[in-house]
Amino acid sequence: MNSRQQHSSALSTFVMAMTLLRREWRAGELRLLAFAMIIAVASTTSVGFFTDRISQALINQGSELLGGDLITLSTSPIKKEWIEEAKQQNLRSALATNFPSVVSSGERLQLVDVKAVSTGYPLRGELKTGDDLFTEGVTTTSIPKAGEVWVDNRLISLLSLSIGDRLKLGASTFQLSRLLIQEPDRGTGMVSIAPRLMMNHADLKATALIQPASRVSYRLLIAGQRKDVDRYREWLKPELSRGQRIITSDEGQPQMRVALERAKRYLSLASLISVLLSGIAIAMVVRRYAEKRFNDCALLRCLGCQGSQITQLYLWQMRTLGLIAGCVGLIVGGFSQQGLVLLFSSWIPLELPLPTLTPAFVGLATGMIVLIGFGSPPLYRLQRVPPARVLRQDLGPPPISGIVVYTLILISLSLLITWYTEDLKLTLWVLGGILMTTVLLILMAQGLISLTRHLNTRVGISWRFGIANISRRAGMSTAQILALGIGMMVILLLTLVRTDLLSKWRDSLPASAPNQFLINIQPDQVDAVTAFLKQEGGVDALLMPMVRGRLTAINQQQVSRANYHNPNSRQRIGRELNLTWSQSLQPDNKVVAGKWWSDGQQDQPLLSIEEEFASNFGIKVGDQLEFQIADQKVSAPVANLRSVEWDSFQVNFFVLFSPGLLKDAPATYITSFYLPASRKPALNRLVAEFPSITVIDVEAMMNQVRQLIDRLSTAVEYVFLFTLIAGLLVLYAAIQASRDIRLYESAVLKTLGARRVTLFKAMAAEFLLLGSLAGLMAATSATLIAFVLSEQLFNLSFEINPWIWIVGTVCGALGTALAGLLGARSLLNQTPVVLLNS
Amino acid sequence: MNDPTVTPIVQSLDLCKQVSTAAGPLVILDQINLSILQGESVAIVGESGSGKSTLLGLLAGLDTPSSGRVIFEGQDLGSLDEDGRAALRAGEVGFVFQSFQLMPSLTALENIMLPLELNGDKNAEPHARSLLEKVDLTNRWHHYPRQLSGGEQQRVAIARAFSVDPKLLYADEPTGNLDRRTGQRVIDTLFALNEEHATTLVLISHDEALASRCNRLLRLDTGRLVT
Repeated sequence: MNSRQQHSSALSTFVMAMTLLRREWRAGELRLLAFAMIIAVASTTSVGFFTDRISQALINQGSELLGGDLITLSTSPIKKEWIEEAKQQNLRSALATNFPSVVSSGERLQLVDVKAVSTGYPLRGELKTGDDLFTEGVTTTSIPKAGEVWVDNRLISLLSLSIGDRLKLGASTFQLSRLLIQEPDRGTGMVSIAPRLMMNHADLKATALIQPASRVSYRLLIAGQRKDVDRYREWLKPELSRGQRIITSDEGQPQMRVALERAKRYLSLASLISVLLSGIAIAMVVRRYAEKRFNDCALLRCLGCQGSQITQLYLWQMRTLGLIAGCVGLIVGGFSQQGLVLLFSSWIPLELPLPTLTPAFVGLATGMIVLIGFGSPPLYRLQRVPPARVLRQDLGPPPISGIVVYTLILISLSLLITWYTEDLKLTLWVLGGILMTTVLLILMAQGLISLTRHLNTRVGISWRFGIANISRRAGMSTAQILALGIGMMVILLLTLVRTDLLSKWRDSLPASAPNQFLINIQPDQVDAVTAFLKQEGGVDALLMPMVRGRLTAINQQQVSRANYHNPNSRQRIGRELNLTWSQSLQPDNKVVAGKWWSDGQQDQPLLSIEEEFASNFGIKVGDQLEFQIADQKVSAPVANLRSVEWDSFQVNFFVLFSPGLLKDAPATYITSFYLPASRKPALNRLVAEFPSITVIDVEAMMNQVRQLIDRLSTAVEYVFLFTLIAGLLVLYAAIQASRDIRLYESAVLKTLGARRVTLFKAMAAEFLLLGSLAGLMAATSATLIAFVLSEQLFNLSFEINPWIWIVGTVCGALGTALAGLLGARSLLNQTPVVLLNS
Repeated sequence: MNDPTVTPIVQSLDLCKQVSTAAGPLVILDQINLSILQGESVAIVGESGSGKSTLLGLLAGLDTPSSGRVIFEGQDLGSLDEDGRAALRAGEVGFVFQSFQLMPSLTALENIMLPLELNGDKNAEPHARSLLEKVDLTNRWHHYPRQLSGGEQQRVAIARAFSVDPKLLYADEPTGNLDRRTGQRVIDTLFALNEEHATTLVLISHDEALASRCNRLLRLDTGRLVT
């Protein structure tokens, strides 16, 4: 064939493929395939679009948390040219200079973190001020006027200040005009930072505080259009010298970005399950479709069609259909991500930008990978249909090598999982999990089918025939039970198991989790504070002593960084740890090795170590640990290891001593408790009565954590809607898979005189048994998966839910029978001639 | 009737086909030697199970022999792979089958256009329409096979077989699935078109009356050529 002929032949193959596709579409067979593809693409893109918008919004929010789009940090004053250049490039700029200093009010002195800001600050985010402690505050667009300062509530408490008081800072005196409630670039550290004092940049020089050796951090804040900011950054980079660096909003708020990345990863994995199920549905539909094309292909071979032409003919149909269905999936995905946004509208205080095109591309590519990976092997079989089939119907193509099919599926799966998780280890885990589940399911299905052979068959002929059908068509029954089982397993996981797990997960962070922390309580204040909290707040707070100390030796061996590879342990070596002592074990702690000390052991030196800390350092029960506490060395054996529920928000420690040992060490006390909003004013009185105590209100942080859990679980539920639909698709495809053989058999049976009711009963028996076997298998595997999830991922104790088995088996049987009989009702009503002719 | 030329279009040399069964090898065709000349019409007759359809499959290159050779237009089919044999058939060989073998998802017209389109014929549609007219199905062009009677389906299959103007037409029991009257009409159509196109015809049948309409008759008996 010359190239022109080849070209014309390729074109005619394509034209013919399109003609056939149009016809096949009308015949309805390919609709299931299109639907599976739509689900695969829609589930991927809805997650993709949504996370893309949030991540863009976070970058913008990152700007708010920095106070600008681009920050230049410098240890020397900001150059005037930099500000000039920003102005030239249509960018706004502001200065913020930070340094520690001491402020005085009357006789009292206090170390403060001074921030001098210029007009325009903050360029992004909000500054909130108020005139009373513990108020919400109002947003302001101004900065402290010259001669005035704003301070935070901690300084107010520490120096017993009130609005209008005079404060001396360096060589200048200022009037306290507002209370500073919120500043965007405060950072997340809450304990170590000294109280804030904000002043006008213009007043800085007069204070004479900045001397050549002063520890000052100069910041230049820049904001404007993204492209201008990018251009400015490129201009600025070569200008920087030692001690100067640029921070952009992309790098801001690392915790939120990490959380988003993680959420994206899990949501993508959730959507991947729908993709996988869609793949199974696609594989089943294409297999059946291909088998029904054997005659056509034999004829085409007779007419002179090349094998490759036949493959192309069907591949073109599949690709085109995939592309069209994929585009519909994109639209559905686009709408449903809007659904996710609406669902979250009350939680996302961000203006979400429009999504980029990347998720659309990812979604479409995912769909095509699944379509080709799962759908093409049966089509490649078509080119090997022998032309002699036109003469002898029993001739078919050689079965396709299992290795080829599984390799293709494995490759496409690995590709997708790696792409989604960007993590090889996680990919291997997920892939291994999927493979193991599949193998287990196949074994289980085969075992159950062989069991049906031994069923008591002293029932009517129709039931016997129906039940026998399952083991007679063992191969197809395995495939059907597998597909039905996977579909049902996902449905069970999504309904019963998910509800169980999520409610447990939510309960693990109860509404009454502590929302206030008190630190720096002096030993002589313990009784008074306990009584105060009881009386004013109605709280039974447990005040824990806290002593600072360093771990210096384990079994007389000096602890040195060189001996540890684990970054967690390396980080802790040489640092001071918070140590405590206690007679009793806290309720959220559990001894996992050794024994808790008894009352008689009060004065014995003993240690209790948190299990993860112990494993990082290789500490076992019986090891002798030595700590440096102030100028003393304290040594004691490890009596037990504890597990700690860190997310309970209770005060907890890695290292706990028996009561006697640390009695003389310099300690302060710490406590946490839940205070309802109505009792918040008690905190004001507490601060007034005990000025040295620091109150940390973690309510906001707690809300963020609780909301994040809520958001995530709702998002997972939403994404799993697609999984549910995909599971139903698999169910439907599995029932459809045996339709042809049923069609033929019922025609033969009718011809032989079988009555409709006999056929109906036989089919009902078969579907009922198939469904209950699949349901049984689904319940077993869902329980296993739930066990792994709750133990490994959620750290929750696992309880078997007996309803899974009952609901799984009964609903599986009834659902399959109903769907199967509905699908087969046309068979029952047709005359045998029509069936045989078709 | 056309004058047969002396050039054989297809010939078989010591053609054998055997399959292995549980009871040992089963010989289906044994040492078949035949030559079919260009333009002639040959009927292969025999009882059910005599190996007629297997012989047709081998002659058309749809199947491969256990031993022996098939030469089509001077080309040994045994030296070609499946695709090579398909390429040789394209546009040169037509088929009419007992079970019609129409594509169920294509209309009557599209079924006839199929081989033309496979050959890249730009005028496939008018060509196919004129053939539909010849088989007297002009008004049924948009009907799907399932909407046509057996006789109508076979006439579409005949029109399809002649659409590419093949040099050689194999007809395997073309009336086997039809009643006598319908079968007669189909056969009339087949012979009329065969004459018009001057096609070499190999007809498989167990119907002696039908076979007698051909120039020559070959008889198969349990895998052996007896005349």
